[in-house]
Amino acid sequence: MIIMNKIKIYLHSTVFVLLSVFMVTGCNLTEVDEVVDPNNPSVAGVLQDASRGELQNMITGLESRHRGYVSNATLLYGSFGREVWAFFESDPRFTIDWLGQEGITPYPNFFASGGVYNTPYQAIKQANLLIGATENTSSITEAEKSAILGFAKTIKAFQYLIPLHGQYQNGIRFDVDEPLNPGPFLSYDDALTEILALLDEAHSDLNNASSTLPFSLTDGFGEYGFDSVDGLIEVNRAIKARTSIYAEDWDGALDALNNSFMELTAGEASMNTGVYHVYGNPPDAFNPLYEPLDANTNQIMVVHPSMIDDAEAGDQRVANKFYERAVPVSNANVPEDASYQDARWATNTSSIPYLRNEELILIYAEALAQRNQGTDIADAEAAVNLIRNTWGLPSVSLNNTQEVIDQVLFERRYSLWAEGGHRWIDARRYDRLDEIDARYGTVFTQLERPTSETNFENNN
Amino acid sequence: MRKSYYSKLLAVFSVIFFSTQIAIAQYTVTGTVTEASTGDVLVGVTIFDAETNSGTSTGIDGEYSLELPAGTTTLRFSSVGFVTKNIEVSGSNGEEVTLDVELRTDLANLEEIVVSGLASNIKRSNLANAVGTVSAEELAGISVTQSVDGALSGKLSGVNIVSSSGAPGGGSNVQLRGISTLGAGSSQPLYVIDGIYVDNSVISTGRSSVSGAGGSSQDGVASRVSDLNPEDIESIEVLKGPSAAAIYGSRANAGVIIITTKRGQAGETRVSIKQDVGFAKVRNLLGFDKWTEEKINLLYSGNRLDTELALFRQNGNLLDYEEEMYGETGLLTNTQISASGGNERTQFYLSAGIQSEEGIIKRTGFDRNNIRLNIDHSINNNISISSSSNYIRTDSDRGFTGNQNGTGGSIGYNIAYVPSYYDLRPDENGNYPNNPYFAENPYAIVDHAVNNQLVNRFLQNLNLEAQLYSDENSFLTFNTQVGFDYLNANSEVYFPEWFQSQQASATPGDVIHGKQDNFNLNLQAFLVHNIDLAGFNFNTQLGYTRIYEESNRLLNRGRGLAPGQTNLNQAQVQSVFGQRFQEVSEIGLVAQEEINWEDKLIGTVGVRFDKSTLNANQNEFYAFPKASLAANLTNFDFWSIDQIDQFKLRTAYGETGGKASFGSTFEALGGVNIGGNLGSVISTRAIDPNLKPETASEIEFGADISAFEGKIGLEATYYIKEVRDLILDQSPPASTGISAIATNAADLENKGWELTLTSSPVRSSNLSWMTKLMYWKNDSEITRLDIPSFETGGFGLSLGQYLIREGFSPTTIVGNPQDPGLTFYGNAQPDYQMSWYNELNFMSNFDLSFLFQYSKGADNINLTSFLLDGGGNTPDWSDDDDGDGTPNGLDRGPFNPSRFVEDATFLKLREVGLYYTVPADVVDGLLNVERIRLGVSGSNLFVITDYTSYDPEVSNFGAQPIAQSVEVTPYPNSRRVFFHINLDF
Repeated sequence: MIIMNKIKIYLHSTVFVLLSVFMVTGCNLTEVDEVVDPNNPSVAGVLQDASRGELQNMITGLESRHRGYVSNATLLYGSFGREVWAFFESDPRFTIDWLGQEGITPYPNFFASGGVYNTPYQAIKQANLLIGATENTSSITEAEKSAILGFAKTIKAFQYLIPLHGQYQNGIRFDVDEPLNPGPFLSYDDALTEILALLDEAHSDLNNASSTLPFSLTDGFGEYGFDSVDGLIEVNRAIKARTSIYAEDWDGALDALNNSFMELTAGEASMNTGVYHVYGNPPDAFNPLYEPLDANTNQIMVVHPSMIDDAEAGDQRVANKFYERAVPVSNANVPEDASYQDARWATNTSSIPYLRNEELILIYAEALAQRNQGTDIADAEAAVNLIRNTWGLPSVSLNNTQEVIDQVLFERRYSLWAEGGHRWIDARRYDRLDEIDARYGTVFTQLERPTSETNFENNN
Repeated sequence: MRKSYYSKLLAVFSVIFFSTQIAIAQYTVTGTVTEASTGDVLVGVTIFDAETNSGTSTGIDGEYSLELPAGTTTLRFSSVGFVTKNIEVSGSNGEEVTLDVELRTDLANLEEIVVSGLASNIKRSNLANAVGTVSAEELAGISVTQSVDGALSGKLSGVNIVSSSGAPGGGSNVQLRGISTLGAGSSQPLYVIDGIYVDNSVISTGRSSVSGAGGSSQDGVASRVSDLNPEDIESIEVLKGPSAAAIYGSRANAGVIIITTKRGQAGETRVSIKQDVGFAKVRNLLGFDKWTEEKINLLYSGNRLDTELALFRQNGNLLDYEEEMYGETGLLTNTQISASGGNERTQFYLSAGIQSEEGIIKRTGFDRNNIRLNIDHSINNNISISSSSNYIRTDSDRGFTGNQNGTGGSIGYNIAYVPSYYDLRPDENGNYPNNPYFAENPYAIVDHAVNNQLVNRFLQNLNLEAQLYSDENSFLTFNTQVGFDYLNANSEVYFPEWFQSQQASATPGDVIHGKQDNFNLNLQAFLVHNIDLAGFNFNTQLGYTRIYEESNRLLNRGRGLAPGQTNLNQAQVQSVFGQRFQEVSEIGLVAQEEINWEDKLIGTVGVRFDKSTLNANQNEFYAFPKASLAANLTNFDFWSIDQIDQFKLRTAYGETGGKASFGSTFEALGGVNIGGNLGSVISTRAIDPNLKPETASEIEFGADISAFEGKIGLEATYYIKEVRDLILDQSPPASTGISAIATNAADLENKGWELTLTSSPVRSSNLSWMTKLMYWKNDSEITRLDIPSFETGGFGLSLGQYLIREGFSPTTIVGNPQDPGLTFYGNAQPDYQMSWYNELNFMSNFDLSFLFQYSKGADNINLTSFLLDGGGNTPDWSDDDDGDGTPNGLDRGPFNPSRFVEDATFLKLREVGLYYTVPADVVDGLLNVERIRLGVSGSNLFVITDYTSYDPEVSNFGAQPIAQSVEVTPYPNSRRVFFHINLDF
């Protein structure tokens, strides 16, 4: 009887407990409601049957990733080529490490160099996502797909060049689709070959594309009318021309220029025709190179004094691009003040060019001189003088390949100053790194391979 | 069915209630309770009669009075820290019985009640774990502390607490028994206050964005446990490792800190007022090197040299910028009022506190206002409820120190570059000269920049305990509790438009307003069954827990501000700086069995199953078992050494978990804007679909010995704590566009010793002395690493980073040069630590307490000295230690961490307090006051160390699992001195 009573009371208790637990938890005792990411859409969602809107968002995303390298490439490669000094007093490594002072040589994961390696590869990742999503959707036509693929591959090819400049003879990976199973490193030359092939693939995609572009692009393409299938073909060919001279494929360069937006016309407007990275107020990003003139700061990119020393009198490029400050900027690790800052940007939302007609004309002159057939030297001379005359400089007489190349390299210093580090890359192409004014430091040939890459190689 | 059950219960309770009210035959027991060896009266001793369930407690004079029904009964006299006494008393109707009682101080804390489960307690003498406890007296009784975490420094063995900043309001990095995560989960322990899971997040203010320092870990914000008022705390129990903390399952890898607040006691209402006034002064200034023409010649050239020389000749060594910036005397005030009392059925504790602290930098400070109401009520003999309510408002101005980039927005970083001959002081019109050596005038920052965080917080807990059944040798209770912690944080970081750094920007004037709401809800329900069978006591628990958390953070930024305006509407560029939602839901199931054989052998087995939406498999249960055994050799018949009161051997094993951080199981597409279009970009982080929670298992062995009536006690523990499946970011080749995949990539082992020696060599009415010496050490080692060895934390290899590599401690400091291997520079973890705590009572009315702490062999990365070298201000800049003619400042050798990794061994006098209790005959009749206590105390009064910066305790990145010992011009620590007056009514 006592036992019976006990059991009864235990039963009552259990019911009481269960009821109260039910009351506080709702009915689901052992299941949690699955939490989905409250902050972002998911990757899986776009890889299957992406909608037109989702594809557009990924294309815009690619444009955004596409501009990520600009600041770091301009500052780092610009410092290597002594186009600029990075006078950022907050961290002495901007001068000590970047200028090769105190015996510093490039080391893996070199100080503040991720922007010319990780960032462009993130753009490539984005292009691959877009390509994957495009290939796996039925919401657009085949011709529309070709347009997207052509665009994605063109940008992807452009981005490969940025880490390749830094890594140079170390080579780079080309096949990077699978994070834990990437392809091998390709030598500098092999990588250029692959990039050129990718540009041609993109070119043929664009040729198969629908007549109207099935997506919209920013003013970076639109301002000079490249936001069309034909426009993108011209941009694709322009990038190919640039890549071809790196590969020393002079015929290829001239052939690509033919179908690019090159125009042999003098004048500032003609020079500036090209493609740009656009910037804006938040939620967009500011132009990362903009600094107010005469800003009282010791955190600023300055013009390397050799650019002033070596300039020809009357060169309007000097007047346009370099601003002489009221108060020079000093830096603890460089025993010389810098008097000039970048004057190119009207506002902090100004666009930054990445490929202009001015460069195409100079590529044209260089390729002609290297081909050196028929009237090539004379044509090259004319092209160089077209640039010089535009900027208020007298014509020069150029009589052989050597003279044209010397002059082209000089003009490129001023025409393409701080547009991604041309000077360093050009000097290296022609084995003239020793001509770079390395005051207070040394000039590097290339960066070291990042640790994440060597680690992966050592473990797989 | 439910209804009838309730009405039956109600009927039973009414009978009991009624019967106690109408008892006629009564007598009164009165008496005084004193301490056995000193004769001091004891306040707050509980006197309880189990038969009638009535009780009272002693007043300020140690006296008590209790009415009892005629007959014989046993009264229990108990008080925390004293050995409980059971005394039989009898009386007849109307009789007045006097019963004076002496209680012996429980020197070895054998009777202390310690948590052994989520719904059960155990006497310390039967405990199989080394659970650390800190009493109210030790925690906040010596001096006034800033925050709970900081107040634990040096008071527990096995605990490494490093103050991360000297800023008002505190902020500490707390590590229990070594490293428990490499960064995925929380490196900080779980705090539970009166059953409420406390939100201990670090809420970003955006300071690091305005100052350019970088990530939000450099905001210099204290973790939110600093909101809690240490004065409300009755005791703290620390479950240091998984063997003790297994009952908290998947949240307990970093240990659990259980806080119990003060509660009311039956008896007359007691009011206590405590007023503290003090000041803070910087403890240590470096003393910047003097400037000379020689030095200027070395640092400048050309025109600049002439300008600098001219200035120097004009001004000389004009200003000591350290003194200028850190020279304030901060006023510290603290007012605490509490009232407690009640009757046998209902007790209350009500307190209010106003704490206000100024810093040693102008316009920095910390205010805490809080109010607490704790109520306990017995509905009847079987059902009791208790409620704890706490509202807190904290207001912190932590200023601008630490790292910065490009803005000059850190005072210390800034003045490192300013020579003493340059006058940056504002003129009489309030114009601040531009700083030609850095991007900002430091006076402008001190006088006009804002870094404020205001937190409103409400914590509430409700607990219901019902005895469902009981007979002479068993009972069954049901315990349920619901607790929530809601906090709202508002922050503002502001640089006015006229600042030098702002004038250099396209949109001068920068403000970030932050808003964050966090809500944590936890509830649990437990059934506890206890039965005595043939000399064995079985205690069985079954329980269910549920946790829900949500948070919503929004940071808005305005740039290009109208003069003097901080409203976002007054900004030219208005933007959402960041928004983040977070939601976590968890379920736990608990079962535990404790078996006690006559206090000789005590064994426990238990298991907890937890699931959490933070796991990749959101609906999968993970099991966390535990088992322990304690053997009280002294309770066995064979024991014959009477001098030894207790000799206990114990061992315990347990497992706990640690989860991935929110978001690391989602493969996300981020939002970006360009040229007026919205884009989606793939994250640079990919996911591992098989991600599991981190699991820690720990086995500990120990012995507790107490001898000579507790005059000497030794507690020794050795533990091996293994953390498996540590979640680490695997770094695929950067060329794949993916920088990290969180994956279970490593195992880690912590081994350590904890020794505590307590002694009370002298106990008499004229002098009593209690002393406690603690020693602890921990060694960590990574025992498995599936991903390539890598370096993390800090600022790159030329400035020193931490190495993650198999066979090494993750606190190993490495750096350049790499020829080809990394160079090793030190270890951030101390070799060992010691502390020495003393309580002296002399001339019956004086109490002296002091605490020393010694930490041996930790290494810091002192980037302050690196910056000072660059600015020519290091104290030894102009000296020439190697006699080669080049001053030290230009002669520190190659640019690598050998220049700034330093030994941070220290000996600190953490706290010292001297109190005088005004004798009763003097107090008598004075404003109804029963007791007056006066005191003077100090903290951080002196530090002995060879470390060359402000303080050997540093953490530029705040609370960190690994990157804990980097210093970048921190807020200097201060020395604090207080005067106290306590009044009890």
